[in-house]
Parts: sequence; structure tokens; C-alpha cells
Amino acid sequence: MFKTLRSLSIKSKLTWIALSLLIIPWMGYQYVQEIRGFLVRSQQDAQLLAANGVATVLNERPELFNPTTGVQELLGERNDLYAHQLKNPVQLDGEADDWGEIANQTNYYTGDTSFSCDATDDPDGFSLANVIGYSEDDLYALFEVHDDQIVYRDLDLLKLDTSDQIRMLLQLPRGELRHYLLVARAPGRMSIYLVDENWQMPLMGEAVKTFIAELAETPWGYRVELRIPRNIIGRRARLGYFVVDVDNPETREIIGTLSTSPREANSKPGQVLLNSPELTKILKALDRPHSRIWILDNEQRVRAVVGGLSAPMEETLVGDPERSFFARQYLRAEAFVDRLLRRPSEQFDDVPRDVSHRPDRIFTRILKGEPMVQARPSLDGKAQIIVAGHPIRSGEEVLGAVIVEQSSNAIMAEQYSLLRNLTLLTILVFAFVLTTLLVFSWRLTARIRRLHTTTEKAITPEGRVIEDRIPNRFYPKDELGDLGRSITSMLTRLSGYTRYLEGMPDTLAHEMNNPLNVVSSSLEILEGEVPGITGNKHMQRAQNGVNRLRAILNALTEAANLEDAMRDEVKETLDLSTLVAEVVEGYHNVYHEHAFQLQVGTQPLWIEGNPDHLAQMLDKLVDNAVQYTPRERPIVIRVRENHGEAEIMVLNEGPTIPDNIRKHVFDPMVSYGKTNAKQSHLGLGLFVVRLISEYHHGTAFIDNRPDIDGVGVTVSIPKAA
Amino acid sequence: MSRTIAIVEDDTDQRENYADALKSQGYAIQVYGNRTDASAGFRRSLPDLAILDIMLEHDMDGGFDLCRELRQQSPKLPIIFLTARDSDIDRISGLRLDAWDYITKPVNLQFLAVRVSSLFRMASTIQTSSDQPSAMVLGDLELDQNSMSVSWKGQVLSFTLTEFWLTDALARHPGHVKTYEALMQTTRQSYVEKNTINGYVRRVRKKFKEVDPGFNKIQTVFGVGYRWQAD
Repeated sequence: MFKTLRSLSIKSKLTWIALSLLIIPWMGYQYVQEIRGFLVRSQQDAQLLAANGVATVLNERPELFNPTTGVQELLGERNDLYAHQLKNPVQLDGEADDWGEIANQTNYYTGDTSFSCDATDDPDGFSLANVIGYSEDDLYALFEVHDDQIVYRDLDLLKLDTSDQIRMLLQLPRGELRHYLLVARAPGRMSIYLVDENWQMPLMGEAVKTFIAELAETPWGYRVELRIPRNIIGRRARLGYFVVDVDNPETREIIGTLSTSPREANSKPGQVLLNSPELTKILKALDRPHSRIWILDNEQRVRAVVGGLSAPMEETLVGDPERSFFARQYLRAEAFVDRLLRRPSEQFDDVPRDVSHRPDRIFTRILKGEPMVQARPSLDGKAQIIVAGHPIRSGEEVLGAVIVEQSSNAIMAEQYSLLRNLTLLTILVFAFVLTTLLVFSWRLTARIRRLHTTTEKAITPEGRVIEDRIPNRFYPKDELGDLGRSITSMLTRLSGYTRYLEGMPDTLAHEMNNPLNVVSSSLEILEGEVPGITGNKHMQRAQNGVNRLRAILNALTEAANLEDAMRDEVKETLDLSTLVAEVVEGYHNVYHEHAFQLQVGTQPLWIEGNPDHLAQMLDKLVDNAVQYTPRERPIVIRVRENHGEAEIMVLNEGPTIPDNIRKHVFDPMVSYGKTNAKQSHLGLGLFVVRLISEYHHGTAFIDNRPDIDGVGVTVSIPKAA
Repeated sequence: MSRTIAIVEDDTDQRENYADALKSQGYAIQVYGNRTDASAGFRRSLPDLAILDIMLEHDMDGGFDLCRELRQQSPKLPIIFLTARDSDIDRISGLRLDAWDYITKPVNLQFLAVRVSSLFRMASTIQTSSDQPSAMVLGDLELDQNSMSVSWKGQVLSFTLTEFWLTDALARHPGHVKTYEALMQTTRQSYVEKNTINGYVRRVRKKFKEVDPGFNKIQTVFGVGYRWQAD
């Protein structure tokens, strides 16, 4: 693991580090989640507080829940349970088509439970759909009854509870209860009787004429239209219906009762289910957008409700030409992020079909006297709704409950918008930082590479310093600049030391020249002053010694002088073959003990060079070869073209060169093998060869001969362009 | 009245040897061991010829400074640099200061005397009969044996004694190869190598090329020597 990390380049390391920035959006997400949780808790608290507040207002006021006092303003409240304004006059003809769209707003009741909003119930069973409408003067009720067997009234039977019938319970404003029974002998106009409270015997012989009801058979049962004058009901009356099913025409037994009241039809009829206007009035003041407040009584029946949950939808326009380019880009980016993050819809539906009754479990608990908060999905599942409830008390008794509902969509939207901004910001920051880091790392690596290359180039593989400073225009005052500067100072010191070493022979020669001059001039004066000393053999030897010392000193200074001399020398185009041939011609007169074999091609070999120095170089090469070559052995001088370069090779027989010296033999004062003791050999000859070949942009190297014992020195010089 | 020669050399042994050798030739000698003494001495009495070492004690360029002072006092005074420093830069610096000769150590005392007398001859020629030409004319080249001056295509070149002798030796026999050995003799120095000759020839060529970039009269005969190209 660490090995792989170490082998990464700086650039990839920095890229990896940049990737760690991805932790920022994750942190942001966590943070937003926290915020959301906090907001939801605050909203729950706020709702509970609101519920508590409402409950406090309603505490100790049982009269608000009293059916006899708190009678609903029945008509005109826009409530599913109650009447809808009829747009057209309704004909009591058993047809539902003149009810218009109101016919669709029915409440369903089935036999299994007294209330159900579930429309998927078996349509063949006994069930009821009921809707109430009103016009200027009258109240209309439409009953769609599913009944597989219609049993009409038998006129022979005295008791009335022996056929399919509709029972209507009317509570007059003064609290007096009236029982009306709607029966039919056949499809058509129904008979309406005021009956006793057991729904068996008519109280009056005459049928009631003020109400009119019409029955028509339908494929699934029957339909009843009922008209009641509004003045009979008044403003504070209450109303309840029971639809009774009799299927066997023989036994005429009641097998089912459907009620718009939760109570069993055959038990003592209870209150008619109506809203409490007083409560509604109180709650109206509490109406807030996005929230809905319910008041339930201890029978879990809705006594009042205000508010709604949905908010109007905001339109966002993408690509509006009025906006600036950046604004449009921003909106586009937002739209992209919306798709990415699945923006929650602000439109949802949580309007229950039946708002008269809330049987949720939470209410059972609240009605036991326990404040509660919980969240539930909206009915269409698109939103989360927070429900807070608080009991309303009167003494020890729980009168009912306040339920405050609010969707957490506002929070969701807030969370979403935070998340979206965070995402956009993160993308921007990430792109920026990544770019910066990449540029930075690219620059850094480039600088390091440049430093590396420059440093590599500053010293030859042999260890010679050719560039004693790193150009510092690339290296500002940072660590890398310091490194560049310390390399520069290192190179400077190294090259100073190298110069000192290379210049040492020269310095040495100068220092020795003075005493040597004393010796030689003294010898000279001695010769003149002491007669007869001229031929003295000791005098001769002293002079020989002085001459040899001079030769050594000359050799020592030659290299230094050569560098000076070449500095402002001009090169000319010359034929190396001819030059070498001419120079070698001269050697026959000088070196009598060795044969020179010249191997030169017929083609001229043009190079840019200085003939004097090239001749000097060849002198040194031959000098070197002669020193090691045994007497009478030939020395081969070869000139040829090799890989586009002119090549001079001087091959001799004699001692081979050890590998460890080979690289250094061109340095000053390095020599190899044993040479003639009488001849001084300071190892400066090949140093001069190197200087001259470098002056010609060439290279020199030495190797042992593959064929026989001996060495060959090769100097390669680029050909003239 | 004998001529006076000033010797400025910080090495006592060498200084005394030069003094002895030149005294035996009949010259009067003033010796100085450092620059301060020499300057003071020169202000008291100016010599007829000065032999200067360049490095005087710790004064790296003391000889050059002395040369400059002497030139201010007398523009025509013959000055010889006699030094162990043998680099082109030193030579050029010395000659730019109008030194008449530049000899590197070790020096042959006999040759030193010859040079000194040659320079005295030159000096007296310049002072007395400047309008009596004793010039040898070889095409574009003019060599004046007495004043030891060289001109090429009418332009006077500033040569040292050794350079004049070398040019003279080559030009006197156009077309003939002068071997290294012959040229070594000509320089009248104690110990001369092939490279020393090459160095002199290189400098001579350069001086000709300064006034005539196309100059190619001096030809190298590799391994043997040089020759003056015949017209």
C-alpha cells in the first residue's frame, strides 16, 4: 500500500488529495440532514404547541360539543358531508343526471363498517352512496343503494319495517326528534310517514306531503331522490339517514342497516352528525396557510376543520431570454441538479374523501388524554405530513382532540434548496480547487523536472562540472528555489574545486619556475665566472636536470595555456584526412623507432576545426602511443567516417588499460601502465587531447584493443555541415 | 656614461643573478624588491630600461601598475616583462601597456643581454634618425631592422622583440620551411618547445589578421615548422 503510494508521481498524489475534497459534499449532506431533523422537530414542537393552544381555548367548554346546542349551520358550509349547491333544478324523476357533477361527490357507506371511503367494496353487496344538495328553497338528497333484491312495501302488513326503506331522523332546533320513514310500493313516488321511534307504526294516518321522494330501479339496486323544504329544517336542525335492507319477501326480516351515523341503526338514534359552527368560528381565527386544524369529539367524529395543506405551485422558467447568460446557465445547472437530486413535489393531495371521521390510531391515543406527534405520508404518498394532537378536557373527561396537520414540505423544500445550493457550490469549488491543484502540481513537477534536467546536464557522466550555476529565473524564493540555489552553490564550489585541481599543475609550474630560474641563471653565471667548468660532467648533469625540470613545467602549463589560447581561436573548414596525412608525414623524421601505419580513406572528410590544435592533439595521441609501444612495433593511425562523425583512431601495442582508470585517463595527471623511467609522464597528454576534442565539440575515449594487447584512443568530431 | 637598467623582482636570488649578468655587460643596475620602492626610485631617477616582474610580493599585478607609472613619466622607455606567468591574457595586458618585450621564465642570461642591447639599439634609432629607413620590403610587408617595426600593407603593427625576430626569420626566406629547431634558436630564449613556437606564430598571425583578415602568408608545415609563402 505505502509502496504504491511512494511510487506515485507528485501529480497523481495531489490529484488523490484533491479527491479527498469530495468529503465536503458528504459533510454538507450530513449537515443538511441534521438541519432537517432539527427543523422537523421544531415544526413538531410548534404544531404540538399550536394544538395545545387550541385545546386550551376549548378546554372546559363541553357545550361546544353538545349536539343540542352546537347545531351546525347546515347549509352553505363547503363540506363533503354536507350539502352542495345545486347548479340546476333537480327533477324528482329517479334520474341522477340532472344532479350534475355533484352526483360524483357522494359519500359511500357499506355494511361492514359504518363508514368507509373505500370504493373498491363489492358493488353487489348492500351499500349506499349519498349526496346532499340544496337550492334556493329546498334541500335535496340522492341515495344510490346497492341492493341485489328489492323488496317493496306490502300494503297488507300493518308494520312498516318490513320492506327496503329509508329512515330519516330530523332534530329540530328545539331538540325535538322526528322520525320519518320513506317506503315505496313500487318504483315511483314514495310514501313518507312520521313514525314512532321504533320505526314501526305511523304516528299519523296521513303520509307526510311536505317531503317528496322518488324511487327508481337501477341495474344494481335502486335510487332515491328526496326533497325537503329548507324552512322545515331551519338553520340549526340536524339530519340523519338510515337505509334499511330487506331481502326476503316472505320473512321480511331486516338484514342490514346503513347509517350516516356511526351508531347501529337499531340502537337508540344518536346525534345527527353535523359540524359545530362555534368551533369553526373559533378555528377560523387560527387558519394558517399550509396547515389544517381538526377538532374531533370523543367519538372520533370531526366537529370542525379549517385550512388546507397544499401551497400554490411556483413556476420556474428555464432559458428565459430576458435573463442574463449567467443567470440562464445557473438556472440550467439548477434544473440539472433538480433532476439529479429528485426535487420533491410541492403539489400533493391529502384531501380525504370523507372528512367527517378520522379513525387514525393516533386519535384513539389522544382521546385517552395523551398529546402526540407523528408523521404520516400524504394520501397520495407524495409528501410527509406531521400530525400533532392534543386532548381537549373538561375536568377529568376528554371532550375531544385538536389535531394540527402540516406538511413538512416546506422543510423538505428548504432542505432540498440547501442541498442543491450545496451541490452547485461543491461542484464549483471542487472544479476550482482541482484545477488549481492540477495547475499547481503541473507547474511544480515541471519545475522539479527542469531542475532535475539542469542538474543532470551540469555535470558530465565523468563528474566534470560544465555548468556551475542553475539559472535562477525559474526559481523564486520558495523551497524549490532554495534547492536550486543550493545546487548552484554546490556546483559552484564543485567547479571551483575542479578548477583548482585542474589549475594546480599550472600554479605548481609557476611556483617552481622561480627557483628553477635561480638555479639555471646561477649555473650560467658560474659557467662565466669559473674558468674550465664548462666541460665539467657535473655541470653537464646539473644542466640536464634543469632542462628536464623545464620540460616538466612546460608540460604542466601547456594545458592551461591551451585553454586560454583556444578561447578566441577561429575555426575553419578543413579536410581531416589530408591534415592527418600531412602531420603523420612529419612523424617519420621524429620517431625513428616506430613505424606509422596511416589508414585514411580516399574521400575528403570535412570538419570545422583549428589545424594547429588538431595537429597538437595528434602529437599528444602519438606521443602517448609511442611511450607505451615496444620498439619496432607499428602504431596505427586511422581516419574514417563513423555514424556521421569524423573519427581519428590511434592504436598501439603495449600494456592494456585497467577498467577503473579508463574513465579518468583523460583527466589531468592520470596515467596508466609503466612507462620509460627517463621520460617524464605526467598524464597531461590525454588531458590536452580531451580539451582539444571538446573544443571541436567532439568526444574522446580509450579502450583496449580487441585483437591484441594494446589500447586504442578514439576521437570523434562532428562533420562540417 | 653607462646605461642604467632597473630590475624589479621580488625574488632576491633571481634579482641578483640578473643584476650580476647585466653588470658584467657594463650596465649600471638599479634593483627594487617591491612596487613601492620601485615607484619611489623611478621618481628619483628614471632608468634607461626597465625589467619588470608582474607579480611583486602580494601584489598580483604590481608589474603592470609600475609599467603604467613609467609610461606616464616616459612614453619611449623600453620595458621588458620578465615573468613566470605565461598566459595570453598576461601577454596581451603587458603589450597593451606598451611593453617592448615579454619574456617568460626561465630565462637564459645571455639571451637577456642580447635582448637588452637590441632594445637599446631600437631606442636610440627611434630617438636619433627616424627619417633614415633601413627597411626590408617584401611585397606588402615592411621590416625595419633598426627600429624593429613591422608594417603590413602600410599599417604599422605592434610586435614584441620575439615576434619581430620570428617574422623576420620567416619572411627573409619566402617559400623555405623554417623548422621548429631553427625557430627556437631565433626566439633567443633559454628553453623553447614546439608549442611555444606555435603560440608565437599564432599571435603573429592574429596581429596580421587584425589589419588584414585575409592574411595567410605564414603556412604551417605540420610536424616540421612554418614557412612564409612566396608571392
